[in-house]
Order: sequence, then C-alpha cells, then structure tokens
Amino acid sequence: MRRGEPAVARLLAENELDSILARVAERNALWVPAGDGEQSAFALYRPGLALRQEAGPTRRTAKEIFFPRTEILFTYGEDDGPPRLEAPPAEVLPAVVYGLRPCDARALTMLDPVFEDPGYPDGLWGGRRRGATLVGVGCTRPSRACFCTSVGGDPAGEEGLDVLVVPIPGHYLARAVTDRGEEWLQALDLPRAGPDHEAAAVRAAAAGAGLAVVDTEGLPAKLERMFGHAVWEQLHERCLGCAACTYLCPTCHCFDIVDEGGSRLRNWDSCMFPLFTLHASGHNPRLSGKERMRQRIMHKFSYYPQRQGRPACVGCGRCVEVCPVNLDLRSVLAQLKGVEA
Amino acid sequence: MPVTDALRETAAQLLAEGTVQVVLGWERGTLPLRTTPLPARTVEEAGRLVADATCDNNLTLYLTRLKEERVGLVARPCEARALVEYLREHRVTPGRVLAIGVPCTGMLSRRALEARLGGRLPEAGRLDGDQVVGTAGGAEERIALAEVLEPACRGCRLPDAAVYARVLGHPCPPAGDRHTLLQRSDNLAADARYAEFVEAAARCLRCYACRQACPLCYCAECFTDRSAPAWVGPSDDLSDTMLFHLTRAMHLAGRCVDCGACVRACPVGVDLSHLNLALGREAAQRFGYRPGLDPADRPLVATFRPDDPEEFIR
Repeated sequence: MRRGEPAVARLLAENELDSILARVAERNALWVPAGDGEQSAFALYRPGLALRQEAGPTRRTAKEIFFPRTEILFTYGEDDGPPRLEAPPAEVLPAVVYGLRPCDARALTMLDPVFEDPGYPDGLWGGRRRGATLVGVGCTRPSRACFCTSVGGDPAGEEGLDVLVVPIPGHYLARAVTDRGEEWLQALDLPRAGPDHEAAAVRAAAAGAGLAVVDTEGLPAKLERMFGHAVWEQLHERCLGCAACTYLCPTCHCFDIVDEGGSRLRNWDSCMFPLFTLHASGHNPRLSGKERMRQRIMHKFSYYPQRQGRPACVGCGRCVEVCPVNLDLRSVLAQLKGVEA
Repeated sequence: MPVTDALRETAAQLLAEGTVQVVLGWERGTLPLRTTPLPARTVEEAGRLVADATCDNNLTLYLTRLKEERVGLVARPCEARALVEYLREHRVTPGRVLAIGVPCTGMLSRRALEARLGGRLPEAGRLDGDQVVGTAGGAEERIALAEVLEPACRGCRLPDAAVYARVLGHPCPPAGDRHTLLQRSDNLAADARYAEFVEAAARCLRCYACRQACPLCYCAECFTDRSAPAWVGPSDDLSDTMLFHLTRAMHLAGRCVDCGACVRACPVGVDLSHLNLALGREAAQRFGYRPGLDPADRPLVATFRPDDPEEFIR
C-alpha cells in the first residue's frame, strides 16, 4: 500500500461471512478456526463448518499450516529401475488463513528468520508462506492467560497480517494491512464502511482488558549471565517434562528428521524430551529436566532476542493454559527477573 | 476446622519438629480455580498449602524426584492409591513417606466447567461450599460441583486406612459407578470403537503429557524414548500413536489407580481411560486384583497361582 494512504475499511455482515468464505474457498486452500475448547484447531473450510470465533483463539496454532507436525521432505527408492528421488507433491492452491489471531500472525514473522535464513532457506516453509494470505481477527476478549502486550504485541496488532478484521456488533470491519490484503479485499467487492470508530473502540477495549503484565526488560542480557544460576534447580522442580508447552507454542519450531519406509520425514520435536539431545555415543548434554527447561527459556528469552532483537514469545498464553501443573511462564520470567545475578 | 487450616497446621508442625523435611502438597495457582504442586520445606511455605476440589495433579509422582529422606505427602484417595502401588512395587521404602490423609469432595473438571462457561477460561472463579462460582463474559455463574466433577471421581475407591500416617477429617465415600464409561464402550460395535480410537490417535500430538502426569508411568526410560532400536516412530503415523497408547495401557494393566491425571493433563482433550478401565476389569475379574487398595498385596504380574485362569492363552 502506498504510504500515507489509509486503507479503506470495508463492512462484512456477520450473516454473509459463510457465503464469502465459500467463495474464497473456490480458489484457495482456506483454513479457518474450528472446533470446541481444547479440540479447536485450524481446519480446511467446508460449507457449513462452524467457525470458532467468540470463544477465543484455537488451542492448536496456525503454525501447523506452515510447519506441520509431520511432513515429507522427499521420497526415495529403487523399485526395479534406477534409484529415484522425488520431491513431495507441490501444493496446488495458495493458502488463505482466516481467523488467526494477531499473536499467531506475529509468531509466523518470528519463525520466518529461522526458516528463511539466506544461507539455508527452507523451501517448504518459504513456498507456503509466500503464497499465503493471512486474514486476522482482532481479539475482543483476551483471556486470563494472555500477555501479548508485555512482549510487544497487541490484541488488534497488524504485524504479519494482510487483512485485519475487527468484530463489531452484527458486522466485521475489515481493513487491509498490505497490498496483497487490499487486492484480496477488493476482489470480494464488499461495501465500504464509514470511519471505523466502532472498530477503534473495540480495539481499545480489548487492549485495556486487564492483560497480565510481564516485565522482560533487560532479561536477554541478564539470562546470559545466569546459565549456572541456582534458581533453575528450583524453577524446574514442578515441571513434568512433557511437551504440551512446546507443541502448543506458536513459535516453538524444533524438529527431528527420520527416514521411514522410503520417505524422509521432518517431525516436530521438543527440547523438553531427553531424546532431543541424546548423542550417538550415549552421552546426553542435557541430562535432567533442569537443563531442558533452562534451554527452553534461554532460547526464547536470551538466544533468540540476541539474534533477532525480540523475544521468541508472542504472549498467546497457550503454555500457561495447557501446562498440566500450572507452571506459569509469566511467574518463571518474574522469578528470573527478580533474582540476583 | 476447615481442611486447609488443619493441613497447614499439621504440615508446619511436622516440618518444625523435623519429622519430615518436605511436605508435598498444592498451593493456589496463577489461573482461576487452579492449583500447582508445592514442595513445602519451611513453616512459611506450609502456610501456602491448600487442599480442595481444584487440586488436580497426582502428587505421588513427585516422591521419587525429591531428594529428601523423609517426605510428607498430602494424600487424597488418588495419591494414597498410587502410594500403595509404590510401596508394593518397592518404588519407595516404607517409612520414607508420611501420608497425610485429607478428605476429598471430588475434583473439579476444568474441561466440564469451561464447557459450561462458553468454552473459555473463567475470568474469575472460586469454590463456595459444594458449588463452583465461575465468571465468563462478566457474568457470574453458580454450578453445583457435582455437575462438573472429574469423571474419575465418580468411581473413587478408598485404600486401606493403614496407608495414612495422619488423617485430617473423613475421606469421602465413593461417589458412584465408574463403570458407566466402560458400559458405553462395551456396547459399541467393534468398528465404532475402533473409529473412536482412530479419531483420538489422530488428535494426539504425542507430547506425552499423559505419561508424564501419571504416577504409575515411571519407567526410567520409556520405550518411546529409544532411538536404537526405535520401537515406535516419531511421526504422526496413526499406527505409531496407537502403539504408544496401547503399550502404555498394557504396562498399566492392574496398576492404574484410575486417578484420571492423564486425562486432565492432555492439552488436546484425548481421553483413553476406558482402555485402562477395561484392563483393570480383567485384572479384577480374572485374578481378583484391585490396584491401590492394600499395600500387603503382591503386584499382579509378580504373582502366580496354579489355578490362575489361562483360557485366554492360545
């Protein structure tokens, strides 16, 4: 979009959303939030599918669309002929993701520098990302687990989105953030809205909805001095060592590569598992839960910020909600911030 | 005296007089109606202990992670049943653990409560007698605890009283019949049952929260954590995920104390407790074995009697 030219807000009637999405789905792989509670996730749109909207963000994140839990990197075999090596089938339709939250979109922009490193660009990630249009829905009711504003986010943030949609009574107000978003909106031929006072009010209300405050100021540099600190012994004591936090995290991106039946697969992996760092020699540099939990915190709040200038956390609160023992990341950060080091 | 007050007093006394070096209990968590495990090592920390329907972790699993020689364990029937298995399997030495029995009203199911509150985390919440008060969308709602109880609590079984060193108040009586869940799966046709299992396996992310939250899933190295040989693949292949769950269920046959911690820990709502219940029924019906009740019983798979049924061996 040209600078200085404010995007025109367009009006989308609540009862027309389904027919509009049906039109979008004709030419795109359209992902929408669906399902209840902990079973909610992004699903490919089909007519009549009940969208998850009011109930808040999906339990499973939008990262799965671009970085699935398991994907084929290539297949190989000999069969009867010469050895063959085949790339996975390309995705035919460009993806449109409707209804992801600003935190989820921001998380994708944090994963881009990891997968799009100029030295080692990841074709599968890049291919999906470049073709995709992200239409986000602003949060109107942040939950008790949310803390996006503490890590640079906003319940109605635009970063990473092509279009931001804000629900207002009876309607949605849609505004383009990028040129791609503007084209996408124009193609839908929606009526123009007047000045988006109502949306602004909704956004302001959400931002002031008593979001938890976490102070991470100066933490990256402090953590660098805390590798051998005694506090880790105490912090990890309750941690069960499962991967609920990592697998539901929109920015966790560690993976493992294995061969299975003529396919080379990339699978999600977690630094919380002992197998993650087990060497072929049998040596394991992260022997206990203490080292593993320290790694997870360090990666998000020290190593990544030192390379990319911001923490690898968008404050979506999923880890806070899913931790089986309520080991709250926000309390962990407060403790790390508070101790002498 | 309310149980939390009695608990704090007892824990503080046990710590002060040096009877135990740590009391394993719960304290208030950071979200409404949640608690978090607390290993209380000082009298001050003992003052933060709570025991109510929001305590939903099974504490017994922490026993072997603690370095202390003498441990106080705040024990509802769930913890006590797991402790009975620990004693029977020589997982802890008798005398190391001093179980403080606390009455239990049954646990609040966060899943059931959130379903009643529009599928969201409550904005605020508290217990008020036998009711739960939760706030959603600014509106306060009162729900009887009995309506939002953990399914496992409906079939609670009380262990032998000898397992407790102290008892604070009277333990609750079993609330009902747990086997309705089993009746449901018994009545399903095999292909419908299989379809449900496939659906659950497809949803499972293999984060292993179920395994980690289970007091009886305590192998030093799980078969899933072997890479040479890799007994089970790490991908989302359905057969691998099914193999994990079936193997876990088999390893818990006659050992599962039906506390439901695995179900509560799952971040994506997978509930395969009927597998454990079905195997528990086999152990009970064929071998007269009920886990978690009597520390003097021998473990099921360490027992052989000449008249053991064997018609299922082919």
